[in-house]
Amino acid sequence: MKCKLCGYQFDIKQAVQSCASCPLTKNCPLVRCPNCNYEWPLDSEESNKLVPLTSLKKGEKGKISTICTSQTEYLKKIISMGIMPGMTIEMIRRFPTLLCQIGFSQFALDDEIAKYILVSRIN
Amino acid sequence: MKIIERMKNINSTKDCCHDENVCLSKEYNKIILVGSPNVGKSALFNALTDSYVTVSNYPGTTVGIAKTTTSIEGKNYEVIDTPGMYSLLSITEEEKISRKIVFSYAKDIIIHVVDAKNIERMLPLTLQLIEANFSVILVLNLMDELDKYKIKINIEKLGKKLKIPVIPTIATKEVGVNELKTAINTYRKLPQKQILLTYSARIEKKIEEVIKLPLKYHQQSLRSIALLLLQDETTEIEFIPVTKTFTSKINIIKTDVENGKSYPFLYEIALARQQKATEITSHTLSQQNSKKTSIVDELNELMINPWTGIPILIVVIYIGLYQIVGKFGAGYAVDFIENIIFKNYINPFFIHTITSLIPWKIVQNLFVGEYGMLTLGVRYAVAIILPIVGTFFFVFAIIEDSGYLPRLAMLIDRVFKKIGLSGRAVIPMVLGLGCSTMATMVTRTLPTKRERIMATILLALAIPCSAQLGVLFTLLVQYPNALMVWGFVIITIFLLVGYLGAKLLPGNPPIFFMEVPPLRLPTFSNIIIKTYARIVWYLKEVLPLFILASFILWVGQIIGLFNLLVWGLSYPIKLLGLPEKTAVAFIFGFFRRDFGAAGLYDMHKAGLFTVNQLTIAIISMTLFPACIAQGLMMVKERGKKMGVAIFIFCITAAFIVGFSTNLTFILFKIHL
Repeated sequence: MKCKLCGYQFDIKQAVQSCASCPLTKNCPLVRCPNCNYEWPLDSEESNKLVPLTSLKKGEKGKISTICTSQTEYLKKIISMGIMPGMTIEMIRRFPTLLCQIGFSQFALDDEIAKYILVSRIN
Repeated sequence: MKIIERMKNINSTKDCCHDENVCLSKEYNKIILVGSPNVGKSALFNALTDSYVTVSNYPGTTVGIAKTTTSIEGKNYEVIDTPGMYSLLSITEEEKISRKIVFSYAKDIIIHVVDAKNIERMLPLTLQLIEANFSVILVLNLMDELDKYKIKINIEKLGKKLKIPVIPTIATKEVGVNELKTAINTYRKLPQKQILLTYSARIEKKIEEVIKLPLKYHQQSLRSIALLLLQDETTEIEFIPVTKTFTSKINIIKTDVENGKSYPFLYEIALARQQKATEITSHTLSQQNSKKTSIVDELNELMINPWTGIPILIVVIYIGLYQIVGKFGAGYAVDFIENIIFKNYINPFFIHTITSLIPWKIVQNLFVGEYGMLTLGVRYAVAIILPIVGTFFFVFAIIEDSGYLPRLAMLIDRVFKKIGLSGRAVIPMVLGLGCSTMATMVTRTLPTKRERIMATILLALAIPCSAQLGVLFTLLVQYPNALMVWGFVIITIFLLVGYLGAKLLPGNPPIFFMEVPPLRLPTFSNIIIKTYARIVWYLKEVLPLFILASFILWVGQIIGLFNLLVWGLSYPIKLLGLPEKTAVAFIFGFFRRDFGAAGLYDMHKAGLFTVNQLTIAIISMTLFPACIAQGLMMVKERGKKMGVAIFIFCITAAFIVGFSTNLTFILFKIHL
């Protein structure tokens, strides 16, 4: 396969190796180029619909698909607060910080952490 | 009068010291309250024990642990309230404290308090606690909010599924507390280990492997410990002593043989638990959809939107800080207590009694002299500082209970990011406007060491505490220009030091992520009790220091050390362009910033300052660390080196800024 950014040719197995430090390789819909570390979704129906939480508009809802980060700290933080794949998340506000609702709780979070939460939009 | 009873009990509830295990008694059975922040653990603690822990509508109010003994149907228990914890995988320091307590008293009763409507999100912790084989009781609190959202929970079925007692409560109204007490007294642990949740074959195999390793730990919780070890670095699980060889063995287990990478245990285990929790709730919870926006939602929106949020903030500051604390507390209340009660009754009484009891002038001075323990120490603490701090705590209690602070945190996050902090730091900062010592303790709730250091520095340097603010405002209110210069300099220093600190300190920039609780109407009794509890804390902390300060000043004056210090300080003070006598106030300032400010107040009343001098003196004084108590708290929280370094930094900065302000005044011929 070929990297969409730098054009480097590589085998999918090499891509998996470049994700070695990431605990999520199994559920992750992204591939990472071993040359430039650019990440993009694999071409499949489902993963094409995935967007980071940050791109939900105010009032839009999404179903959390995966939490995609190699930083264990962030992962720990997100999942220990009970934000897990399968849950429906609604964007309440976007400014000055993101405010989201899951169930009956609201969470304030910044882009820095929200970008790792991948969701599929619900219409 | 329940309130009065509780007030009496405040002293029996103490905040515990840093090393929790040392101070828990060994004689009683324990009841440990755990759960996520803001679900009502402290309220339940109060209801169970009739004593008082601070309860507010802000996640993370309990820093350190609170404990008290109580008798339930004739049996004595020690009840322990722990800081909020989302999961056994701890992130913040306070969560680690809670986890350590839970595992240290594994044989006692653990009450997991959850917010009933959010049970699906909170059940994973229940599962973890059951997994660790603790004697768990699940308390569904805030049951009254279920009706609002039209949710029904089948409690009996839930209990059967989890195989533990499940008790519904409304802790603030003491509903369900008797049932809980009965459940505690009749608790019978199931004889054999039971596994509620099995993971994938692969994880189960790994659990087996970890259990086989030689590890000294309670047999009963081994499965849970093994899971923790799989999910996290051994260094993060500080309550289990491990050797290096053990760590490397664990790491081998965690690594996949085939491709040499780590298994995604953390994620997989959490996912499995969540699935179990969802499955359980889907069988026990029914909900009718009702989505309507209320006035509360509108208000929420107004507070967070910067266009309306900033005006609201200004109104809150104006009414709360300026009108109530400034005008009422520092103005009327101080005036009344100081000029009428103390001047006319108490001081003459002290002076009369002491002079007739003690014939020696020098000993008389210890009590009623210029720096006398009674005429200065007690007077400053009770007449000048107490009314101000008291009114601040009252206002803060209202703000805290309403749930405004998390909204403020959101509003201000972007600004705080520039100074190396996240919106979360708004709580210690606002609390710092009340009492910097208390606020320094609360910095514990910040997630990273870097943020904790930044917050401590800014608190010590540029956040004046209410006592000091009150005195300063009374001084500066007559000179609007001086007030503006002061405000400008302090805010500039706050932002500048923050900005530089954020650039210079190593580590990642902070991230902002917090749960925002719903807005709630504060209850009057809770506000009164809370204000009272904080005042008691304050007096206990402060009055002895004031008296100690008077004593040291008295000794210093006799042996001449005091004059030496004044003389030593007089040179830097001259550089600031201040009258020499300011040195005395500054030395007071080393003990307590507000003590020093009160000294300035006395000097100003005697007409010793020009307005320029007053402004410079007040700016320098504001930048001092608040008091000896704050210094001690910094050492305790940040360690000796860091604490002392911050202290010295603040004093140096105070002089440099004072000096530069004076220079600016002279150069530009400014007369305020």
